Amino acid sequence: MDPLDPLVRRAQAGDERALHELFVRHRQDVARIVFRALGPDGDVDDVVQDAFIQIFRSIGRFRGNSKFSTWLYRVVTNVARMHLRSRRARPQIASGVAPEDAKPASLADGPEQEAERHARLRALYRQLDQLSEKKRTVLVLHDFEGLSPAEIGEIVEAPVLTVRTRLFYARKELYAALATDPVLAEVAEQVREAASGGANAGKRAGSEP
Amino acid sequence: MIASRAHEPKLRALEALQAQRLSAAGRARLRRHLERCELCETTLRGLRVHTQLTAAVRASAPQVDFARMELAMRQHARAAARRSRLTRFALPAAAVAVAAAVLLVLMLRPTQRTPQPLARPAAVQKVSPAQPEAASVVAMLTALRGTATVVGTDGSEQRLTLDRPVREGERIALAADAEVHVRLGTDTAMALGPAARVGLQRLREHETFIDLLEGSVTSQVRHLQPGERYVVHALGYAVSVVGTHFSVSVDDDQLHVAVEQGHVVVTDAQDRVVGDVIGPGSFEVATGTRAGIDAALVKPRVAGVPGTAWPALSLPQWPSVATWQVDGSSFAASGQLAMRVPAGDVTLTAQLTDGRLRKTLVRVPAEGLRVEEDVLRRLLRANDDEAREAGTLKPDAIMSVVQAGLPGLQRCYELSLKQRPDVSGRLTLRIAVDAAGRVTRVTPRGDAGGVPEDLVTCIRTGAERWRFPPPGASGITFDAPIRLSHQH
Repeated sequence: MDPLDPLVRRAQAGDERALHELFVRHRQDVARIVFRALGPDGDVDDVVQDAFIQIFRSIGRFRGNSKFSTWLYRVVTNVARMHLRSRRARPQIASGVAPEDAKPASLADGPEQEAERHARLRALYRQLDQLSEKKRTVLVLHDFEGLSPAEIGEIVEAPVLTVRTRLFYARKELYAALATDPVLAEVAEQVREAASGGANAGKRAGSEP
Repeated sequence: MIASRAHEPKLRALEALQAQRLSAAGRARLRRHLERCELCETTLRGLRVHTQLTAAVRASAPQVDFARMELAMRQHARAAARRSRLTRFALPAAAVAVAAAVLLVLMLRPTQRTPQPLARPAAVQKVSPAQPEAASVVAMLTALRGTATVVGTDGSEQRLTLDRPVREGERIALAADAEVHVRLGTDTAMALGPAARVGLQRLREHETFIDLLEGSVTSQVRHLQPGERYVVHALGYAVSVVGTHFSVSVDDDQLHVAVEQGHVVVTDAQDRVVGDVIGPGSFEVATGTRAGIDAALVKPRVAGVPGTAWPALSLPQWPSVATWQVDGSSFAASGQLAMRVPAGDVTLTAQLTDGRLRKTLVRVPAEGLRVEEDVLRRLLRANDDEAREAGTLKPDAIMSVVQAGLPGLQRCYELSLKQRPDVSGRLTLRIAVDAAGRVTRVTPRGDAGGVPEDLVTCIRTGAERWRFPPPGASGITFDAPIRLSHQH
């Protein structure tokens, strides 16, 4: 059991300053988790705020059976999941270049680079939207947040083997989708060329005496 | 070729290849397999794209406006703390409460309460300082149009000039055609509107309290840290803010609060919250009426850096000029204009009363520049052809404003869906933007594809509030397609 941080104890006792201090201390982490869960077009501000409201409400129930960071991940991940569910049911209004019409991103460095990167991330999260909620959560926590299957198991309250299975199938589905996404065709070509260039260089290096 | 139906992609092996964990023999074996297996080749392509994009996700930082949510989080923390304490002491308190309730029932007769209209507080609320006493700051004028006077703490009155700093305790009064921009600190400034009268109640590093007696004050406030405050007092109410762009106006004893960006809270003299406004939106305090904002707010000029003063540029009044645009700020051209600008070349754009634009470059020396009438006449005649050219704006800049404005339009769509749950479709808006980046006209193009007229009107009105980066020259016009879709 993780000894309770004095700040957490004060927050549980109803110390308003401690609750605010928790917000200040963890807001960057929460924002990062939410951003990576929702993607570049998500309502990150709103979800971060909802996550902290949930944290404030339920901190009294945190008993220190896991690390505070694990508990925080669990609460934030669940709030993000709820948001994704409600987003699927909401009417959508969109403008500009529709995802299906988007041009492949240019490889050239220049002032458009940021917009290209944004378009690619949007394409990635569009494909993530096609995964089931459980697979998506595991993939985001593992690949984007860098957590181990054991840590993810604690967060999503599932055995490690289940986490590994979800991750395997999430990646399998996602790789197939990313390989055929027209917006990402140029990225695919770019990495293929880089890989074959590296392989050729490796061969050349290997053939030299 | 390996039949893909009977074959599962070698995911683990491909990931090991990508991570360069395979031996030379393993690599060679897998490459031979890849030459014959289209499914594994496709999976490897997806894996490489995923690796690339994962790095991009990890490198991206969320843009979250913490200052904006600071006030709300304080309120939630307070509520949560209250709940927590209540739970903690609920049982012992319950017995006391029951006893107290019995006593109260015996002692008091119930009285009927009727709802009371919101009473206006009698006096301006004075907020006690939350920070340790800090030295007062000296505020610098960044722009002055027309005439204004300042009343010092000793009661002496003098005409306000660009060189006259203003201090805590002083009052400023503007003529009917005047406008004054005051820099209050880093990234914080206010613009006083025509006929405004304000008192600089408190000008400290962490606290700014402005008393608005008449007219309007539009503020641009940097993101405040915990404990910092920026408050405008008017008609007994306090309008508090955490990092935003908002305007407070007093008109015929009515208090009007308009918020272009951010979140403000209006409290009365008893510290009761009587309204809060999240931009873009407005709030009429006496009636509680909420609405959108009619036009973009004045952008208070934050010029220069603390401790230094930029040189002054003075422009005479000129009958054929309607608006001046100088160094990112716009001013009506009534009355003489003086403003702080960076030394060096400054682009001066004049929008003429007939709608045409004239643009020229003036070199402002460190000691300042007063542009005389004959020079101005020459400048305005020059570059005639150049001034008529259309402006430019990068597609990314347009997209970014449109994307940021979509949540505002979403409300129109959600309201419309309540009346007609099947509404969906596409419409294209032709948007005209002037040289300063203001939307001057929004018209739907072609067939609105079954989108109801009231929804189109709501979307048009919303789009008219968008503010683009200044495209320069005579502005630009472009089409923005809007797609409306929903799932049952």
